[in-house]
Amino acid sequence: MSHITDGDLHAYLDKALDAGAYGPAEAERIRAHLEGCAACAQRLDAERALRERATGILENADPGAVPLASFEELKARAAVTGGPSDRTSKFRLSWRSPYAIGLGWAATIALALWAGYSVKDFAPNPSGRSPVVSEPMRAREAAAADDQPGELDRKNDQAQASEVEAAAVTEAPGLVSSERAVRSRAGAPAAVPAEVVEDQDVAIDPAVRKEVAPADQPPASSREDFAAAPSNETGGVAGRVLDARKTLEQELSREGATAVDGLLLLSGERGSADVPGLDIRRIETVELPGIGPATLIVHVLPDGGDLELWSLSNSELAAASPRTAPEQRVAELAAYFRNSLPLRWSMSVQERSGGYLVARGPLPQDELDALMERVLDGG
Amino acid sequence: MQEDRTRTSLWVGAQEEGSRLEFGVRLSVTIDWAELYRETLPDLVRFLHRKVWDPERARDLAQEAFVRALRERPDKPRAWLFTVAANLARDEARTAIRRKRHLTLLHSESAGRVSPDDPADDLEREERWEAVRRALRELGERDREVLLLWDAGWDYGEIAEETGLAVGAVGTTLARARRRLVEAHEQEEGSNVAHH
Repeated sequence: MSHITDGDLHAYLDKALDAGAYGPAEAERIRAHLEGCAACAQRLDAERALRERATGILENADPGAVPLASFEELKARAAVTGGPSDRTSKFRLSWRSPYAIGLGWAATIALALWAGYSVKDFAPNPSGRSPVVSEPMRAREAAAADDQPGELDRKNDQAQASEVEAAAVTEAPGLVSSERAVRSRAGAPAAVPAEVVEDQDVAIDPAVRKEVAPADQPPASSREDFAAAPSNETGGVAGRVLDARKTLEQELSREGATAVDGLLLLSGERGSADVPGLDIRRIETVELPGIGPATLIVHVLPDGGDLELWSLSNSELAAASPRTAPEQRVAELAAYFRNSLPLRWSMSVQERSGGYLVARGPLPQDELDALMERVLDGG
Repeated sequence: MQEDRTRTSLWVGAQEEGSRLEFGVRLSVTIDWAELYRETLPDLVRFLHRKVWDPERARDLAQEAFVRALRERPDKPRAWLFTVAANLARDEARTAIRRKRHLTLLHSESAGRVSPDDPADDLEREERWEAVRRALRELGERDREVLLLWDAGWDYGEIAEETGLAVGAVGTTLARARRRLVEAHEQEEGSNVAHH
């Protein structure tokens, strides 16, 4: 039986085990060991004293009460030299940006939105059916398109958010477990949150639910769509998600979010692999300037390197850049993705039903092409 | 006109339970910038003070970072604030610009001096800070950064993302940093006693 490391002792003292920094099994192992090992329990006491001493030292360096400017004052200051940057900047593509890396963590997995697209694009569609897009969603998209320019970004965000929900229901049934573990927190009336808490069977930290405070009720159709989600289809995001340890609570607190308009909780068994044999490091969505939204699934190559698979849907591309002819898409996408291609990386762009798939990675071109074929063939 | 609340649209969390994946999809998040300011600025000032060792400069840098955040409206404002503020502090140190009120950084007209009135208290506090400052300098750069981020309220996951460490390595780093800090501080205290 191996003893607990100093690092794990400090993680225990820092309550990092409780906060999900460690996987549940590892956290339980550490706790169990500390209960049964007198030597480690003694070390824990020593490390606790060390930790308190270090904390006390740092408190000695506290600046004391520092008078701060008011928020209004800072806001006025910010307004003097300009407003918020272009809204697209928050999605600006940076292949190795802290933002992108930050998204990765513990499987900050891409959205159900994009789970929809990614499942559709990466995994074989056993039913052979085209993805279903709900009429209410189409209506919302149309409404957003009719908005004033100044409202467009916000509306797009909302429409996109709604689309996540719809996509989760209509396009990613594989994410829905047979136990029907999908609950629409967004659709729950604010007055009865307990119903949602009691009803769900996924182990999201209760504290997360506490923070969830629906501000805007989504269209009722969303809830209906959600309830009507099929639960018996196969598919799903595949592979082993690395370091999937964080809870939503951490995500929420990290961003300084004070309200959440909606939260979907999905649960499902792993399905077929999108790239057989490769783990998934992370999944994220990126708004590509001038292109449109894309889903990125980063796989882990055997040598530890990243393999990027980008999925773009025809409908999204058409909405984002309606003037581009479909036959120009491949060239446009190739130019776009090649522009930021890291050194010694290869790239492959393929058209497929419903959209496009772009693979990029530190592989020889022939290996990447072969891998792409495997993806397109569904493994 | 700056809005006090902004919305970000999409975020997803997931965790793994055995063979089961659990996803949480946040559809839309509202960031209340005023509340973020109230909740984050004290931590940010504290964090910066351990870098610039001047409460007013720490305050000014923190506020400058927040002004920039109000303009940029980053999706992850807390991490963004700390990163930008740390860069501001580092840039300032690099260029050796330490004169107060000679920069364009925001300085609140309503904010007064932080120093206590009693010179004896002032001296004692300066000595205390100096001992901590010297002790912190004995730490490796990454260990120091991890320790200060933890001290500023970051959790292991956030620290891992910011520093590039594996989450499991954060505890190890903190253990080492704390031990070194305590040892170095004790040496400082010992030498001070001998000096006096």
